[in-house]
Amino acid sequence: MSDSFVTDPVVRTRFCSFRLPRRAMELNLALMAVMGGVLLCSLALGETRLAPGEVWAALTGAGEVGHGLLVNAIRLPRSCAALTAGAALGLAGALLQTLTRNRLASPEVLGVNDGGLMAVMIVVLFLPSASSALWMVSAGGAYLAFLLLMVFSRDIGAHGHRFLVIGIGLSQLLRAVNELMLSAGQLQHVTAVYVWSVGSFVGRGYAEALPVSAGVLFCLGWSWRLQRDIDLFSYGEATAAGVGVRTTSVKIQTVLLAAVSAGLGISVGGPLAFVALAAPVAYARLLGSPRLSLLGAALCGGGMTLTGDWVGRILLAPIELPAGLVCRTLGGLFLLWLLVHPKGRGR
Amino acid sequence: MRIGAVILVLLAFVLLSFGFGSGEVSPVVVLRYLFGATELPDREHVEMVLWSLRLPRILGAVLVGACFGLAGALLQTITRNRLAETDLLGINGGAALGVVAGMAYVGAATATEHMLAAFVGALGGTLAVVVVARRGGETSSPLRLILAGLAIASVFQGVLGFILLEDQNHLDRYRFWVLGSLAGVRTSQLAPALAGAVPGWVLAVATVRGCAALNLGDEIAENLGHRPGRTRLLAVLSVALLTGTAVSLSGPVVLLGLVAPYAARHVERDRMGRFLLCSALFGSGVLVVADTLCRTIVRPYEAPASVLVALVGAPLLIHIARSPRPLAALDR
Amino acid sequence: MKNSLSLFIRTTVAAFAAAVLLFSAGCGDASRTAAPSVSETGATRTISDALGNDVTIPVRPERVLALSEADLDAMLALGVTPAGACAGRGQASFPRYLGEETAGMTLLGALYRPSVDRILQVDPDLILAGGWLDAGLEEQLRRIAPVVRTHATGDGWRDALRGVASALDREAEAKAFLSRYDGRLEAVRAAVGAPGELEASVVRWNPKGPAFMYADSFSRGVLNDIGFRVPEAQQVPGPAHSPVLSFESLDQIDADWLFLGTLSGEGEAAKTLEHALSHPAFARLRAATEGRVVRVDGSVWTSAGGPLAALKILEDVEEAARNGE
Repeated sequence: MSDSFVTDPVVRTRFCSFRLPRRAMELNLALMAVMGGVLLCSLALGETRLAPGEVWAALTGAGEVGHGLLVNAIRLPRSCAALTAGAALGLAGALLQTLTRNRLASPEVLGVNDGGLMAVMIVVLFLPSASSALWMVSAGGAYLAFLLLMVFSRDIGAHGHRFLVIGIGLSQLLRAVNELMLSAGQLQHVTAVYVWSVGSFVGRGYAEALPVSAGVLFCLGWSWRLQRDIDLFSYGEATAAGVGVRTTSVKIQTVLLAAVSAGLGISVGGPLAFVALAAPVAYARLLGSPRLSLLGAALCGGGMTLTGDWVGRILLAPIELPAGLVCRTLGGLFLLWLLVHPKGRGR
Repeated sequence: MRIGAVILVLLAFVLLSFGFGSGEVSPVVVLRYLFGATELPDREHVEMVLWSLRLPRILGAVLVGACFGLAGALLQTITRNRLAETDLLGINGGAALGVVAGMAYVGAATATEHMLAAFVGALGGTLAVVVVARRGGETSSPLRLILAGLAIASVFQGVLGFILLEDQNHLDRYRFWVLGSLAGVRTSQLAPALAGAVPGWVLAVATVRGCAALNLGDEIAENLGHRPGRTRLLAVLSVALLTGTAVSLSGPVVLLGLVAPYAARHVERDRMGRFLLCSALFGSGVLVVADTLCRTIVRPYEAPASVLVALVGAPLLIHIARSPRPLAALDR
Repeated sequence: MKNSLSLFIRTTVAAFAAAVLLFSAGCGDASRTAAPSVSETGATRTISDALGNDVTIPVRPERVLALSEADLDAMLALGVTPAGACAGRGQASFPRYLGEETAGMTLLGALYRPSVDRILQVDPDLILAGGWLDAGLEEQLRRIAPVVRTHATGDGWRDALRGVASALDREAEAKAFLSRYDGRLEAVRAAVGAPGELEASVVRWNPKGPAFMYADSFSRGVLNDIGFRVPEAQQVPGPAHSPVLSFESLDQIDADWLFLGTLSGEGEAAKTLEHALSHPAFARLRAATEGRVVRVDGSVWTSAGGPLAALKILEDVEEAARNGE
């Protein structure tokens, strides 16, 4: 348990009162600064290197036409898309992990990525005319996967173990169906699916970033209302119910929010592994307390994806490593590092 | 004797499997051949199919299934975690990375070289998981192990993706191989596979008593005179050998190492030796059935076996996780 | 804990500030971006591309990019070297079979995922992008230079050639190429003998099992031009290859001539052929015992194809015919 919440300031107004988690807010501000830095790097550095002054000039429209095009039409929209995708995934992971008090509960383990892929493949193989709305389709597939999960598991179970095992089973099942479809499908269509499934932000921009960020803000807002109740879950479900939390309603709402977030997250650039799992864990370690700030996890996720996309661009230029690949590798290494340096608090 | 029943069922599956396949060699033709019918058209073809194609495949399925089942059971025992499985812990990923890296950088081509590469990879994966998990101390939760496995599997997959980006040849070969299939297994590959699997089995047998003691907890095991550390080490080596052999022969088959021990637990929960044996037998049985289906459901093509195992194993897993009795066992 | 947090904040901010300073110091005047010339040299014309879009393109384009394999192939066949192109499918550089003709071209990145940065550096005035193209990427590219969709997904190499020729205003060269191709066809038919009486298979070999190319695939199309017949079991429509075939049904790939495509380089390819020939099921095929098994380069035979690739196929068939005699 965090020892700072005793000293956190509390704001009381006529209608409501809430606690301002000071340390979390400081960390969030720091993360935003870091993300700003990474954003600047991703705008400035790539195949073509720009000095910060040139970036600023391009952003304000005063620089050369070429730079302006590069920064405003290519790099900035792409970075925004990467940011929002990561934020959505981080949020989804944080919601699930907080609800089940289980660091392993993350959308990709539960089959969301595979559900999204399956929806995309079905559309591409049987309804090729709808291929331009791929992103909506993948979000739909993600929700469907969650729905199946809730139907099969009926309840989360202690520490979400049952949820998790059923989720693993479901994700394997969906993956198997996907493989069958992939091996039987025509190669021309399979190309589009394969490129999407690898998780890349080439060609992504505001068209994806805007609706997704609206969705993320909506989910953040709703989950902020639920935050107090979800926090009480960390004392155990029975205790929370005893205090007056409507546990079933909270659980359903949280899982729904996680599903919406995860679906939006994978719809931007394809399924990104590991961000939803690692971002909340990383944030919790930085904070030093298992009690997460959802905004913080979203920021962490956004930062990870942005870094992954940027690193993928510059490492082997001009061959771009897909962001999904980079996130998977770096995320895994990061998690390993976290696991190898146990700090006693926060699992 | 329940184990006797399991063995008989396995034998029945094996025999039945001889009769089915994707060509025109149907069970009726096989029976006629076996009973020495002389006016069989194209007798040579039937012989070739039975002895050069189906026999090595079925034997391969029995071998690979036994390896995965046994490896899964061992892992679950030494980690005291019902979710431990070679795929989830990144060991399959390590073996796969070993094979692909071997193909790409060292030019490994023969069955033995593939097996060696897979073994090195599997060993690397297993050791990495155990080291990382144990950093948390003796009281590490089962969750820590799975997280470590996930992290390691992710890293392996990332590196694998990196290697495959460079060369299309490897990508094409890998894309079907990673689905896990027993197609194309030849008799010449079976001997090296046995050579790799037998030491694994021997090691597993050597750890039986130690593993049984592990179930009581490390302290009690030590007081009883066993050495948990050594047991774990031997078991880890065995798992690496078994997984490396199996993956090099057929590619990674997911969920077999999860399903076989679950099923075995229903038959034989208490005695460690029999539990391990049952797990191996169930693994073989499931894979033989899956392989038979692979050959028949999409004639004349082949379906990947791992996919079929997952189609069978995943609902089974969901079903088992839903029933209330094992639920208590999950929450250790 | 609080100390470590503020330490973290301070360190990270400092690290990023340092990184940015370093980079800006390092590339102060060495900025490699050239400002693109905004169509001053004016002559343009409007064409309608393969997908029905009207595109305004320069009459004499100087720096043309070819984004798909067929576009690159077609441009080189028409005698125009693009300023840049994407790598071959899954390869680290341009398709191998094009050899030296790709010298001097800028590599834009992996197929279907070009680096827009590099495209901007090359500063093209025309982009040829046939086949599959990501919608978001297309939008971004249209802001850089006019994008002509030279052919649709699944179109043959002749359509790609036609589309590229119309965009580059090289219809005469295209005609010349096609008549050259027809001339070579005659030569190959003569070398083979009576192709109309022979069946041919094109197969991708994999240790787990072979896969044959469907009836509408590129190499099948060229073989049909020569006059080879398609074995009945392989008359399945589609532009790509079949799923992996079981060894028990290997007779499905049997034919008088069997073209075995491998994707590996020289050394490994020979091993693959040996491996295939030693398989007991393979040894019983008519192609192995009485007919002809020809090892070919998979990157040409089993890819989406193009005009030069078609010529290469003709070369391979002619060589196989002469070796057989």
